[in-house]
Amino acid sequence: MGVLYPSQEWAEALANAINGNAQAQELGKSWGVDFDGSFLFEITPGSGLNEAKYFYLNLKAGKALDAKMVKDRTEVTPGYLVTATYADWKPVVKGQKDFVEGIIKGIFKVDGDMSKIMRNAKFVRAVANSLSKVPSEYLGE
Amino acid sequence: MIRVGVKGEDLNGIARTIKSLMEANFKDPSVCRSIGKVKGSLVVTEPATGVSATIFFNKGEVDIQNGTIARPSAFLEAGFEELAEVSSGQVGPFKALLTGKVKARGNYIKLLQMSKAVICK
Repeated sequence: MGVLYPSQEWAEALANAINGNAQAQELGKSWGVDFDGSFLFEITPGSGLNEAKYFYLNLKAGKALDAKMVKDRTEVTPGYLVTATYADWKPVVKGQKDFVEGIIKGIFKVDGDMSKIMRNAKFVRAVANSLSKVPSEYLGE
Repeated sequence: MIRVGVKGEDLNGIARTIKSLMEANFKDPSVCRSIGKVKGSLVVTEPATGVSATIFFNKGEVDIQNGTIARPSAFLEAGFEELAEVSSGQVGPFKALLTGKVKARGNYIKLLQMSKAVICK
């Protein structure tokens, strides 16, 4: 039995998955240390989701410090904004598609300092791999 | 400071990434001085997805667009992680070429000149 993606429960489960991932913590030692390494994930409607959802994840030094659902874009000021449709997020959360490939193809639009993402590409991939570690259920299925 | 113009439609992920890297680098006046002397074009391709971007350098004017052009000054082929290692300075461009982490062809002198725009110090 999984937790609904997206939800506050899911956000907390993801934070636990990241914090339990020793590889992510090693790879992310310098992430967010001298810059804002937090993410706001904007999940736009479709495929069972009726309205946009926003999930905030604050990552620093390889750890998830905060993970929560927020009402809209104005509630937090993240270092990075990542936008995609629910239909595009689902296969990534399921582990069926690669998040980095989605960035390359422009499916996931990332706003923020890409030089930091590039410098920490392995950590970003490790965090993305944590998405599929959370047993999840999905709207529209 | 050099501003990066966008040609055509909404940029793909490789183009957005490269644009962001260049904008960060162009905050450095010494990079701007180097790039200000360069005239040429560079096609960058991510081989696993086939996604490409083309960067145009025209003596201080820099533009980027999706896709390839027929006769660029140079071609660069690199996976996302390899591009990440080179652009972040974790692996030098020469070592990346020699070890096959990135593949290149065309005018190597121009390639090295143009690569200063995307390699962060």
